[in-house]
Amino acid sequence: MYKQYLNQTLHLLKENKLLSAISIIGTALAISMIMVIVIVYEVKTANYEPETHRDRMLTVKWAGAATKGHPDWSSNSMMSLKVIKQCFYPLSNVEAVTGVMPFQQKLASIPGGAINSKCDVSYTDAAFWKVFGFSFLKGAPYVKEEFESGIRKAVISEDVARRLYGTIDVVGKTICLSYQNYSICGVVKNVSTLAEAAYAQVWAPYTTNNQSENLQFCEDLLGVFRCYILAHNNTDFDDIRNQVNRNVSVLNASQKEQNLVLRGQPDSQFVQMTRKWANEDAKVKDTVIQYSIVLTLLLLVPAINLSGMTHSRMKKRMSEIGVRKAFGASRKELLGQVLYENLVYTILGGIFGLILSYLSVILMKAMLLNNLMAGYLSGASSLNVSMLLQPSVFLYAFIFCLLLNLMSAGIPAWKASRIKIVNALNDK
Amino acid sequence: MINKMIKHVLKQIWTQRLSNSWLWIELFLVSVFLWFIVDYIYVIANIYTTPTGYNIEHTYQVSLDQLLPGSDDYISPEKKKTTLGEDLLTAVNRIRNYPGIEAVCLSQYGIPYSGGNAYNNFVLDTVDVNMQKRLVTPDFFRVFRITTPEGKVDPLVTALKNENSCVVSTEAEERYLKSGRPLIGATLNGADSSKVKLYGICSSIRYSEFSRKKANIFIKVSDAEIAKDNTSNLIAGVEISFRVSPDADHDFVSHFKNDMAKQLKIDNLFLLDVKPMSDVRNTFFLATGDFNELNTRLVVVGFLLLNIFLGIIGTFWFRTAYRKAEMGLRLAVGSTRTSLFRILIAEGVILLTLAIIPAGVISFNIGIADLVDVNRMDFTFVRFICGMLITYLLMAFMMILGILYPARQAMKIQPAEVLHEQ
Repeated sequence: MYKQYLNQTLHLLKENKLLSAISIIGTALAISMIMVIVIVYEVKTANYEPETHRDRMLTVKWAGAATKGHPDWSSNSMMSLKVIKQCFYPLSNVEAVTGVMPFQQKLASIPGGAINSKCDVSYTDAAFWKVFGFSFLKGAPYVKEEFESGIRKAVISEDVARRLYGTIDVVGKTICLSYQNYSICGVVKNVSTLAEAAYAQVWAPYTTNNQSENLQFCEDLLGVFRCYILAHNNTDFDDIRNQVNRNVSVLNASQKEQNLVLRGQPDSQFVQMTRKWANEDAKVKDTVIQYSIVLTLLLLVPAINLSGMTHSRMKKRMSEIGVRKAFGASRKELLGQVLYENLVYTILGGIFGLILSYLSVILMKAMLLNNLMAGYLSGASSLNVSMLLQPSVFLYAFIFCLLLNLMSAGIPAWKASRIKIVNALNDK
Repeated sequence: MINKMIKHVLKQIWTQRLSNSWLWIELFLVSVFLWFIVDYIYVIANIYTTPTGYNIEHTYQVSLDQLLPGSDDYISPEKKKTTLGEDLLTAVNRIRNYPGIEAVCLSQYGIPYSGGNAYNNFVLDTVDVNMQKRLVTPDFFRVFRITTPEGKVDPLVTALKNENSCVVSTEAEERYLKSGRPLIGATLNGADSSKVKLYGICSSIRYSEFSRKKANIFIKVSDAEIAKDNTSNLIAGVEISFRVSPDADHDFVSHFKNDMAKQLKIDNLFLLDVKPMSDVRNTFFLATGDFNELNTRLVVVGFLLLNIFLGIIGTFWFRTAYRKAEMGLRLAVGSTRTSLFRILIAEGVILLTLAIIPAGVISFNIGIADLVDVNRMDFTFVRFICGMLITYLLMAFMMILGILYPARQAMKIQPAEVLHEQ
């Protein structure tokens, strides 16, 4: 039965090439726009190397210091090391907590070498390597003891290794970061700037950089640190937030002039995506509304468009429908047939659309996957297969195709199925 | 004649109301959405083209950094003879003497397209004005070519030579004039209990091309103050900028880096980077996402227009095919082919007009409910009409484009053949 419908549809498709093309292009356009949004969303929130546990990770990007008694007089920036040590390191019921001094611009060179190229250095603790899942091409990360005793070891990216030494066999060799020597202990694959939390080109223990303690202001609340917490499970998020809030209250009780404000952080991956500037709350509601309006617009306009065309197509085939009815086809059957026929168009359009959306994401990467720090970083915002080919993307594509199909063929199909036999045969 | 045609077309549209209703709903919805975006683009286009008040051509930004303990050349605080501020001033002097450089300045939250900013209130008599506060050395005006309303740079530089002086922009001047006091030489009281003397007025300065005019205050930082500063935050917060003469501005960054890297290694200071202000501007706009938003909305405009085009071409294709007999008859009784073409176009345009009138009512209400961008520009009737007109023209253009092909097919009809079919 369905095979016959398929044959019939393909035949119709060939018969009127212009209109078929219009239907398919219309669908492809809508699906591609929607899928661009879905893919961008996936790249920002899905798990992939080295941010392998985004679904159970919490983020504290920003912090504020508010004057006691005047909650709206605030300075905003990142956290100080003191806050990390007092509010986050003591957390229990978590897999790992890491404090990171992100993306400091340094000059990288080999000792005595002339090449002095800019590179982004993140200063971290040893737990950083537990929170994020880097794949090491050579060597291993620095461990807790090395971190605590401030040993100058560094993990560098493939790119930096090649730029300095022309090879990735550099474990044990020296890298000079702004005139300070570090011994290379590991080489990792390049990290795309899209993995905002894990990204850097060189990672070193923050105990080797006295700025980690020197750069503290606003009664030592603000500084240059971010914090990432890896929970055992995302159901523990609330418990972790409660612990953080308790720790913050204890800290604030000992502050003389200023209180630490975290504005609802630690954030899940989606919430942190909606948090932009340091002095603002996360805009979860606004973001959801914005997404909803855009998706409705992208579905509704093409659906009306395609409805008009399906309607006209049905009108032309009225006599055929009349004959089928006269020979005993039920309403349900006719409804099914029209929807099924239309689905063939939609799926064809959907496939084109999905291809188009991948092309757009790759070609318009800079515009679509922009983030706050994009301009400051020297690394590339490269995309890779594991970011793009998430199974959920295909599932979403199919769901949106079904939705669009129902929206664009629903009313015409319903009307066609209800027409009186006599009228249909008379082509009225 | 035209009246008659419109009447005729209206009748046509009414008899075909069922198939027209799809098109009408689409045109109606798209008009509202399209207007919303066109309005945004209209605002941006307007604001983008007004002057920003500064000039960043041939200007550069220098970043210095400090050595950390553990580096071979590090000089510990006990052994250091000069303050960090003094080292910074030495660096500025050396940059000033580099060939081709016209002016060098230091600032904090001062340069255009800086991610950071500071605001403060300043009171004269009873007039209290909130201003963006930029701490600068006098040559700041030379570097960024900030001028008096008459277009002169030098009076501003001279104004900031005075101790404890400041310059405000015309927006602040207008407000302060209400106090009825002579402005030049007046003392402004800051909310942070600072006192500065007003010595000059500059023309409007905007935060960026996408921002509205706002009052600005430039407060002098003296060399003596800088020389005293020995906190390690100094280097992280200071902006060093310079202007190069156009003749010298060829491959400047690499020349400067090569020649100056050694000279700018002053005690613990060293040269980290030099980049043109255009790079700073790009970085800024990547962070704010202003251009991204504009581009995204342009893509949506394209999407909506393409949809109209597809909708029209589809509907009219069926319509002309369906009405072949009618067309044939018309031709047989003496209609010319161009008049047939005109009728089809008129049908489209009138349908669009019928859709855009109620859409306009809704759009206007969206506008006065402040759901559009009113931060950058007030919602006025002129703005509404311009936006609506652009929307109408864009849609009409896509319609005509969409009708063209089906209409041409219709014009090829041989009356005899069609009538014969009947």
